Amino acid sequence: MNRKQIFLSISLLVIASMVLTACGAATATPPPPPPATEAPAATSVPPTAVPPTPTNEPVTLNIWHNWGPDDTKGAPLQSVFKDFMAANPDITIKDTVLVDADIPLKVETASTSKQEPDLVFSVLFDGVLNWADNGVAPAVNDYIKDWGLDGKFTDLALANFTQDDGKIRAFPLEGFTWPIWYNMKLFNEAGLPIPTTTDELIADAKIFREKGLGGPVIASGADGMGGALFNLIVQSQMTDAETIQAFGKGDWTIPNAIKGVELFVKLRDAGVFVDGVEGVDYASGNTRFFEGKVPMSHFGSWSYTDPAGVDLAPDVKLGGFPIASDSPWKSPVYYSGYFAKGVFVTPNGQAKLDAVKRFIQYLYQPDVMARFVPAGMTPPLKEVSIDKSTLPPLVGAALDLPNSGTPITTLDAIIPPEVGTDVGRIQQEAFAPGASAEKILADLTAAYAAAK
Amino acid sequence: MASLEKTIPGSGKTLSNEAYHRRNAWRRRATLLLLASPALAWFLAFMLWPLGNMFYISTTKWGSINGVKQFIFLNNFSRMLHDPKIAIALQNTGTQIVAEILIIIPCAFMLGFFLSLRMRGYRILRTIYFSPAMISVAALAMIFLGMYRPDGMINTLLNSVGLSSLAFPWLGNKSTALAALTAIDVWGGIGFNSVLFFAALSNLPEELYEAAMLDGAGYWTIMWRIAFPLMLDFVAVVTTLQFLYVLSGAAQNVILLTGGGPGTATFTIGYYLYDQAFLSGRLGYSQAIGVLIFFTGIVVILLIRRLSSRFSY
Repeated sequence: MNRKQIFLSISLLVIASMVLTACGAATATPPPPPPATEAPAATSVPPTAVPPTPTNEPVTLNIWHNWGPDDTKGAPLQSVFKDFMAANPDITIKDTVLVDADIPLKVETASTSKQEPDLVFSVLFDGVLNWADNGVAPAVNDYIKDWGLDGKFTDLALANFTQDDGKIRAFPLEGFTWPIWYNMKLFNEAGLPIPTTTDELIADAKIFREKGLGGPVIASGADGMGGALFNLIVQSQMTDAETIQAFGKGDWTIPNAIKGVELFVKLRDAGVFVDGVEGVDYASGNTRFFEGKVPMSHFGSWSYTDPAGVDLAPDVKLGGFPIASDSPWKSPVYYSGYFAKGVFVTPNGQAKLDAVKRFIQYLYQPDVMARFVPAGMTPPLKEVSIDKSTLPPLVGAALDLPNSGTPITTLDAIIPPEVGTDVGRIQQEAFAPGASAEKILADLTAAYAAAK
Repeated sequence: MASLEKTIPGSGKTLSNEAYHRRNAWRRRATLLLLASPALAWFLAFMLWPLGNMFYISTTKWGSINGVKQFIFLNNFSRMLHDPKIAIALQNTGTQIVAEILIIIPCAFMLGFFLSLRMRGYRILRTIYFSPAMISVAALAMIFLGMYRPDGMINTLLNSVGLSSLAFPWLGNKSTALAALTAIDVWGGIGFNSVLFFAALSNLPEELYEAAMLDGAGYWTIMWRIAFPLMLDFVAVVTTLQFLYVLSGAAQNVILLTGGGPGTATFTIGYYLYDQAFLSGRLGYSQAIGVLIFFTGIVVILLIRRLSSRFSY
């Protein structure tokens, strides 16, 4: 064959492959958006394609989650599975433990070949926000109503999982608090009370630096966890509506949004953060705080029972982040919400609806839900009785947070997924010295504009 | 006089010489095609079909693998023309490519030449040089994460010898983040490529070196004036492989260590493709970036081949 023939053959093969691909792929115009409603209203769940399995036939429920043996919620979850199966001998639970961050992609990939699990325990963020719309995990509105769970969830838990069009994405499961941790031993040694205003924090930072401790606040400026502290500080200057306008819609011209970013820069330049904070990752920040080297950090309720923090726990006080004098909030702010985990029902789960119903009804009993509270989880139900005296120290201390701080909502369901990684990079850059408020705001504006 | 006609064995049919040879040539081609068909089928299924798929998806708007594709023709490409992140990504990637090739290729060649002299202990050195290639990507990322931390090994060492002014948050500083990631590739690439060069240099006749030594040439002269020119074609191959790795594969370290940050300091074209596909829910646009990478790769590979054929013996 000469070169010409070889080139012609390869070209024909390439064209053939493209034609085959185009012919085989389904292209369609996207479905019309659901009609807008003035107030969130319950939407109907689309009818299942396969009838539910009769109760007297053995059924296996496949559940994917990340609460493995190393997680403090792992043991309570296994006890729930065990007791449920004992009470329902016709149902076998087959659970698979996965890395939390991997669950969304794995579920989406499995669903393309209809091999997704029946139930998924997942964080509500990024692509998971679209599951109710793209069919990976249909809405659960009717299930809540029909399975006797209506009115059982706290308002915030349901609100966190409800879309603008009224679809409830999943059964809320894990509530969390995400306060500031104050190492009272270091504060007492410095003769300082917990700061409640940013002016006090700046003054405290000066004192801690003079004592050789460096900046008092450690944050993982190198990854997403530090971004949460950036958000908290910026949000401390904004109302909830302004937060949605800025972080949700990308309007960074709001005066309080500008003030929020300027406040962050002011605190950074005043030396409030540890030196080199822009290079600190979550693990090393964790270690430094639990070794008692840093006065303040920002951890969530998933760390309340962290074995690394057991020795330090008696010296820790939980509270909010100090607020500026012109903040719309009345006391230091901390995050609280229910995005940490929801139970999603997939189309495969809908095919085993009776078994899923029985499991959900079992799981969402107050005394069953109470098993997770000592692990630091805030239950999503209104009526869960908690005996504080039996709780680990920090889990019990978290129950008093509303007395000293104001809970505000995290941005998991507010920042659009298509701009999430850009915002993360901008937050990372914000921790580095020299990044001006103007640049940060310009970058945020550009990121949201490019995502549209 | 040679016959102008030939008879087909078995059928008794008679053909002209020309027709007979054409028929035989066609039969030979058909036999070759049949024997090669399994490999061709594999090539079509796993190489050409995904490639065609990439071109096709690049003309769609596709939010997630569970979502519906919407054909938008070349809109993704026109978006790319106005996307400032493309220029940033290409600039960062270009910087990485130039830095890695300029450092890795000469250093790897020198090490490979040294190994090819088969001095005492060369086998052990060869294994040591190759060992980075045996460490998984995730393990390597964890090792360097620990080294690059503000309180990590590098800064601890610098502080201990009184050079704390040189201690940076290497991955968190815009000025050092890309260099820090490049250093990881250089650390692994020099050793790996040196073993490749060793294998190629081992095929050169020793008489060339002996003749050069008789004329008074030292090892440095032999390496660059004799071995290197003779190896130019292989240097082009190694350069091409290294270029392709940085263009696409180097994104693994960005994903694991910096996420493209701080800001856009480590935002490379390979990472942008990953970001759009897996994080931002723009699969169509990510494949358009893939098309850009594909054609960029072809152009540069052709350039490397042109240069090597021009300068090689």
